[in-house]
Formats: sequence, structure tokens, C-alpha cells
Amino acid sequence: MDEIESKMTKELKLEFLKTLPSPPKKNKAEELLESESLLNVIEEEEKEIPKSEWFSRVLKKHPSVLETRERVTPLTNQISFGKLISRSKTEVQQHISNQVLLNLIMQHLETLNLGDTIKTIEKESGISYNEHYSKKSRLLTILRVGIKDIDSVWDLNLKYQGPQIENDQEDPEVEIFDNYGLGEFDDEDDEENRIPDIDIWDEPPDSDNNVCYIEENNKKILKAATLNKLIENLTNEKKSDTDFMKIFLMTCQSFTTPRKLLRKLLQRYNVPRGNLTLEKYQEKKQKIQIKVCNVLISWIKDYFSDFNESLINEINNFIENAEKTNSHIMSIKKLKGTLAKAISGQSTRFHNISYETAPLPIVPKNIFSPSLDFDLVDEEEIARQMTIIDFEIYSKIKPAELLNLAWSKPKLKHRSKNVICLIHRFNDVSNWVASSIIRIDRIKKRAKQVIRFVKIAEYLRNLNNYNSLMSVLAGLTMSAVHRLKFTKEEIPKRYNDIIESLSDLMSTKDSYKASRDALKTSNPPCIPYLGIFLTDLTFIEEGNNDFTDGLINFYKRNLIAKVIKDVQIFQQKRYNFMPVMQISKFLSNFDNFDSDVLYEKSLLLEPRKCSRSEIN
Amino acid sequence: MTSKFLTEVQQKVVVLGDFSVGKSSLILRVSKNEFLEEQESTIGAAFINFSVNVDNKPNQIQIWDTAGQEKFRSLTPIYYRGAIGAIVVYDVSREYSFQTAKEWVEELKEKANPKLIIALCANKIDLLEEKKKLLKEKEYADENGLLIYETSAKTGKGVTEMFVDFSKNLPKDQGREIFNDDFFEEEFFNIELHNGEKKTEKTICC
Repeated sequence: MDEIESKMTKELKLEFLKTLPSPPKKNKAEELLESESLLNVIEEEEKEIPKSEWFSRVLKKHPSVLETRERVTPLTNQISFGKLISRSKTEVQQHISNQVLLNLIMQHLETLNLGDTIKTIEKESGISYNEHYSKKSRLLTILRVGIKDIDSVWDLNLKYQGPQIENDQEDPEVEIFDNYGLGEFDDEDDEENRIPDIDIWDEPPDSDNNVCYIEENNKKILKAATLNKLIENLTNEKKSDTDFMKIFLMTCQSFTTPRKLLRKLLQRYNVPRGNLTLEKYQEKKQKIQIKVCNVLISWIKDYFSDFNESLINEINNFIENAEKTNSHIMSIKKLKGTLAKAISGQSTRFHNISYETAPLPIVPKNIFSPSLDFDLVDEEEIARQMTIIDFEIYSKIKPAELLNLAWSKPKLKHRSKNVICLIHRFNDVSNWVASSIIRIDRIKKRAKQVIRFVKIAEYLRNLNNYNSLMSVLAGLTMSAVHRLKFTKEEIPKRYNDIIESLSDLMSTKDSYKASRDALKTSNPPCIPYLGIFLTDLTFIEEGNNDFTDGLINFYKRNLIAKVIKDVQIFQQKRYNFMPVMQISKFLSNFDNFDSDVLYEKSLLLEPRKCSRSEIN
Repeated sequence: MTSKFLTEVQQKVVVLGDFSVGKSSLILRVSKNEFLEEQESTIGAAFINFSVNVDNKPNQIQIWDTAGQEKFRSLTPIYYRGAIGAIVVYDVSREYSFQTAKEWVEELKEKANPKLIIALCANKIDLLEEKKKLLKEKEYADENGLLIYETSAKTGKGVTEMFVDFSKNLPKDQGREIFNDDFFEEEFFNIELHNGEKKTEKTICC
């Protein structure tokens, strides 16, 4: 693998050479001389520039190098990835030669129709591409087989250690998956390969074999169906059911992949005539096609992150073709517009922006001083700044993050980056609370610090930030703090009362009944404690099957969608506070103790079986 | 406060373990059984109540489950605090989950109520080859004074039996003293318990 890397660098060097302005045509000898001297120039330059900067200069000078590099990232990152995934398995090196690897990559590129890139690689590496019979990317297949065993690998090597996650810093695992684009294909289950795909127009009419309804409150509800039947229902020309569409789009990643869904929708768009009269056929075709476009529009609007580049290309091709055939120009136009908007990053989602002016931040006089003492910052302002940070993460949680218990499964984790980020934040805050208390040697001061956190907790409660409230309470309950009984005796009763009432509010009793009730009556903005939703989802997932008699259990998705909607309700309204960088800096970069260290330090502060008089 | 203690004599049992070892499946399985008294709904059944007759006296058990929230590590003391029993679940088909279970046991022994009754639950035994007898695990349980159960939430084997047997092993006199849903009360507010804790620490030292 090292070889490949050095080869890459060589190639990049060559690429760099080529990109320099070429002199007018000369004969071969002259040319050779010229390039020799060019090399010399470069080498001279190299001497001046530290080697570490050399590469970035190349990239800067010529963006095409960067582009090439990006296209072959898996190649350049192979070494670190390999080390991470399988430390002991080096024997694979002997089996994968450069030639094999490059051929795999080229075959992958072929499946993406990137013929020119293949030619370039062939030219530069001198390795010719042997066409392969398989139309599917073998590279992806091999990687997929590789990540099948990944569970144990994450378990062993990548246990989250200590507080590292900041605001936008990502989970290392999530990052890896993102870098390698593995997220894109992991969900293309074997399902797809195992179950023979039936064209949506060949799907037999409704029967117990492909669709199943139940009655609930005098309403006929689709309980389970095949994917074809679900999509038929989604684009039914005779009726319209927006609730169904919302639930479908929200949960579709739990039973199909975006790629497959898109293919199915496009299949549905091509209405066959069958034995209908021309007039009837036209009518039916038009209705269905409009429906398909509407579904696509909603999908793009609400869940644009489902789409990767190749899916966008597919839609673009579809739009192009549809425009040529001139069918339902309005719907297609609208689809085109929506797609363009989504690509340009304009949010199509309405965010409730408050037009009221934000309250002035409460800051100490020396807020701009580099020696700003965090201990002098007002508790209310701390609660506000914590809330801004939390909401930023909470509001980014997407429905797909909450499907299939992805946040707890090593293989699916990369899907749930904001959920995981919020959980890490939660643990960090608890740890910070405990560390800040344990750090103080003198008991009176320590008690004051506890009081400070009680005040912060109370403000968090008033801001409806239940997530951080829970986290601060957890910090006060950590064993290291909890055992400091003499410190607690120093705390006036009224603060103990506050703790008691807040703990009652966040009590896990009756499945968080108190907290759920409070949430129902809270006016947004609000940040619920995420754990409640995660528990609910776990029970729904574990208590219901994904498939019933071979049909997709849509009833289960109904239940899941309800929970996701609850999460979404509170994402709509933002907090109207001004971020104060000087304060949030303290709150996003904690200097925390390890939980073991915390406990040891706690034992030093108030040793077991010591008396009050022994403590300062 | 006092009246609350007098009216609700329940014993809190917490179920802990790594993710996807089958904690929620165990709870769901037991909740489908007859002796279930009440259940909020399948959604959010984060804890359930049931009563078991021990010596002809009904014993109210409250099961607390952390399903779905395993990653909120800082929260777990809230769960086990005030519990008189803990069932640490692991998945026999995943070696790593046994390691995590051991860590749980250590944490409970060090930081939880010293009188806590701990059980090790080897779940998913339907996935285990017949010949394997969980020798290593049994030895570990013996050494650490843990009860051990083998269950399969999938087939239902041993699940009800575990909860019933475990309840029978809980000290009958402790429910009132230790039960509270509030995570601070026990040592924070209840002075009686401070003394209790000291006593046990002594016995451990001797």
C-alpha cells in the first residue's frame, strides 16, 4: 500500500509538470532537455519550500489534481483505513497488487460511467483496464463483504474514549464512513439481490399476498404491503393521502434505499397502455405522472440529503427525457425548479424566525479581556449559551438518523451523526459538571460550585432545555459527586429542594411520565431529552417485525413516524439568543477528568469513613 | 415523603447491558406474560411492574430498562441508584458483550448500593451450540457472588423463570428503605441510610 501512495505522489508530480505552460513545439531532444530543466527548476523550488507544503501547493496551483485525487480518495487513504479496519490482517497485501487494485477501481468507475477517468488512469499508470463481465461494482461488493464483520472491529478498536466531540467535530466512525462514501452503499441490502424484482406494472392486483389492510377508528389503514404496492398507493391516481406520503418518505430508508425508490418511481412514471382506449390511457397516464412528480418534489424538498450525486444525475436525465417528450411540462418544470433550489443549498424548509430582538446577553464587564474568568459569567447566560449549542445539534437530526436503531448499531452509526453528537454532548456536559465540582479542593467553595450548577439547571428548566437539564442532573448524580456527603451538607435547603423538584421532573418513573407531561405543556422553543424518544423507538423496533409474511410492515413505520414527528415538532422553533463566542468557547471545549480519575479525586476530597472535622 | 414510603412498597430492579444484547426483548417478553399487572403501552415501556408471591406475600417488582439509552453513559447511576437488584444482560453470541457485562458488574460493585443483588443473564442461548456450557461465565458468577440465568428472549425460554426466581432472591425487608424514584433522596436526604452505608462498609472491611 505504501507503494501505491508513493506512486500516487509520483503521478501527481508528473501531473504537476504537465500543467506548467508548455513551450512552443520543439524537437524531441529539445523537449527532453526542456523537461529536464523544468525538473531542475522544481527541485530547486522544492529545496526552498518545506516538503510538507509541497503537496498543498500543487493542489492550489492546479485544481484538476485535487479533482483527480478526490476521485481516487479510497486509494490514497487505503493505508490508514486498512490499519483501522484490520490491524492484524496484512496478508491481503500480497493478494492485492497495484494492478488488481487499479482494475477494481477502474471497474468501479466504469459502473459510474466515468470512461474518461479510466482512460486517464490507464495512461498514467500504464496498467490497462481489463473489462469485467459484471455490471455491478466489484469494489463495492468487496468492501461490503468487508464491512459485514465490522461490528466486532468497532467494538474492539473504536470504543468512544473520553470527551472529544465538540460542536461540529464528528464521531470518528462517522467521519470514516463519510470519507469513504460507505454510507452510500451499506444500506443496499442483500435484500435487493435476494428478492427478484418485479416491475411495478407486473405486480398482480391487490390480494392477501401483496397488501393487507386493517380497520382502526373506522378508517382503513394499510398495514403491510410489497414495495410495489406501497408505491402504487403513494402515486394512486384515484386518491390522495398526504399523511401516507409523509410517513412513507420519512421512514422509507428503513425498508428500501433511495436508489431503489427512485428507480421504482421512474418505473411507475412510464405507464404502459395495456388495453385501454387512447383517451383513457392518456388520462390515466397524466394523473399518475403528476403524482410521481409530486412525490419526487416532496422527497427532494424535505429529504434532500437522501440524494447523492448519481441519484441527482438520474433525476436530471429523467427531467431531460421528460422535457423532450413534452409531457406535463408544469410538473416537470416544478420538479426541475425544486431540484435546482435544493442543489444550490437554498433551504426549502420553513424555519420559524423570530423578528423580536434577542435579549441582551448578560456578560461580565471584562468580556473582551483574554483573562475572562468563567466563574464570573452569569448562570443564566451559561444556560442560554448551552442551549444555543444544544439546539444547533438537535435541530440537525434527520429522520433517517432515528430509523433501525442506527445510533446504537456500529454498522449504521454513520447515519446518525447528529444523534450521536448530541449524546456525546450530553455525556460531556455531565462530565464537565462533575469535573468542575471535583476540581475544587476547599469544601465551602465546592459547595458553592454545586449551587452554581443547581442555578444553571433551574435556568435550563425555564428555557425548556430538558436535554441539558437531564445532563446537568446526571453530572450532579455521578458517583464521584454523589458520595460527597459533607459537601452536600454545606448546601442550603432551598437548593436541595430545587434539585429534588427538578429530579422529580426528570424522573425515569412511569417511563418519564413527568417529563413527557411537561413537554406536552411546554411552549416551543424547547429541547426534549432525546433519550425518551430513543427508548420508545427501541421498543417499537424490537416489539414489531420489519416484515409480516414477507410484506413490509407499514404499521410499524406508522408508529416510528409518530415518534419522529415528536422529535421534529421541537426542531421548528429556534431560540432567540445571541451567541457569545467568549462564553460558548468555555462550553464547547471542556477540560474534563476521566470518570475513574473523577472517582479517585473524589476519594481524596472526602475519604471513606472520614469525619467532617478532617475536611477543609 | 413518609406517606409515599408507606404506601408504595416496591422493589426496583434495573436491567443493564451493552446495546442489542436483548434487554428490551426480555422486557417485552415478560410483559406479554400473565403476571403483568399494568403496562403503559408498548411504546415507552421503559419500566414495568409485576408482583410475585414470595411466602404467600405479594412482592411488587419494578423493572427499569435502559434500552435505547446505553450511550448516555453519564446517566446510568441514575438508573441503578436506589435499586436493590440489577440484572446485567449479555449476548452469548457476542464475546465482547460479556466483557461489557463484567465492566458493569465492577461498576455496580464499586459504586452502587453495597447490598445490591446482581444477576448475570446469558441471553440468546438459542444461538448457542449445545455443547458449550458457559463454564467461564459460571465461574465468574461464582467468584463474584452473582446469580446466573440462561434465557432466550426469542423463544421465551427461561425469561419468566428468571424474573420470578430473581425476585425471590431479593431481600424482603429492603423495598421500603431503598425504594425511591428520586435519584438524590437515598443518600442525599435520607440520613438513616448514611448509617446503613457505613455499617456495610465496615462489614466489607472485616
